[in-house]
Amino acid sequence: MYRKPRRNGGSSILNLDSLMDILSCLVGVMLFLVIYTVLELGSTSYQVSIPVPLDRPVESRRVLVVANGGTLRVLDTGRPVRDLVTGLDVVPFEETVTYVRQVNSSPPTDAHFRYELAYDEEIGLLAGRDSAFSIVIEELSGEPGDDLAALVADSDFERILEQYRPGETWFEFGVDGESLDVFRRGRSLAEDRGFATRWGPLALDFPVRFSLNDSTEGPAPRDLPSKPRR
Amino acid sequence: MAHLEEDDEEGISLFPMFNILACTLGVMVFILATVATVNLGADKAVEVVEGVPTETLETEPVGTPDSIEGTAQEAVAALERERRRPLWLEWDGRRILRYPTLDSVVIEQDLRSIATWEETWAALSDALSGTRVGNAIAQAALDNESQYVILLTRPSGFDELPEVRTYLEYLGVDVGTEPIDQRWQRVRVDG
Repeated sequence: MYRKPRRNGGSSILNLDSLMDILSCLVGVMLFLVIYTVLELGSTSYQVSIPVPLDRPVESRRVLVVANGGTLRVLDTGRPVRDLVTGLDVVPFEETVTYVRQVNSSPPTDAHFRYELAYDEEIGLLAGRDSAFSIVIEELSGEPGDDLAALVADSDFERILEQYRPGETWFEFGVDGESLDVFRRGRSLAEDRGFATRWGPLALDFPVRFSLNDSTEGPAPRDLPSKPRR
Repeated sequence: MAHLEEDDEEGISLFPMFNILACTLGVMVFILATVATVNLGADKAVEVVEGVPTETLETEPVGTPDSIEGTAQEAVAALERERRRPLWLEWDGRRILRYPTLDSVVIEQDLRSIATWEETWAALSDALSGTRVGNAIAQAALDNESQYVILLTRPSGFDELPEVRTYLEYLGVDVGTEPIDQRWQRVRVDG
């Protein structure tokens, strides 16, 4: 005759209480690790080294690096300005407008910007021929520049840096509030190659226009406030 | 005569196991969320360190790579000898904060709206006079040979940076500026 096995104290055959105890302990340990990690990471510092201020570089050419919108773009007006004004000296005054129209039909560009020559006849008549010329810089669409992820070895920015020599050029970074990370990375790359650098808050609205009389080195990151001195 | 056992007598209940697994999963999600938050930089302390210059353009050497390296090292050594102590200040568009003492001065006036440079500097001078920050700046101006100012600037202070910087230069202090992120809450300085 079959006899039903007697149950042991009313509990099931496979008791999971022990397993639950072990898992509870493991969860406790994991919680401890999480709290420890949070405290440890919260107090971890990363260092930002800032260069000691030195005298402004002399006898070298300034090149602006625009760090805005999280990307880096080199704005070097040297070659485009030369291309635009090279023929100006031999152009008769009455043909100036024609010349400007002609050079602007295929304006010089670089990796990120397009440069055009602007001529204001009214100002030219009052203040002389030279004062009437300015350069208008526009952004090239689809060329946003290098972001932080792109600033690795063999980036566009590094390839552009290779075109300059530290003794002849220094870089001024125009920086907006969104681009501090990419600025620090770009500055580090430039300084690793021996270039002197400066930075300034950026306030450029494209298209940027600068007078050839005011500066041959292109626009500054931001114009100084026009406050008179008494 | 044999008969089938009732289900509730011999079956293994998986409910406790399911509860444990749910708890474990919850903890793991919590870990992931915490690590992700920390990695995003929230509440991370930032230590700002004064950098060591490698060379200046004035000392820019001309020659072979070996001689360039040697000259640059000499320039670094010379600069190291002449190294000055920085006075660390922070400008956020509203107040000037001194590190590491955390003394601060609030500039109530909109510096950009002041018409002339002299009046701008006078306004800053009035706000700073008699304060610990003002005294430290005055001391740096008097001790210009061995001190200079590093002005950490947050993006909210970019617009009025020329006013603050030119004021310090007007006092005869050498100024180096450095942008720092707006989100950095715990800044420490070294030097």
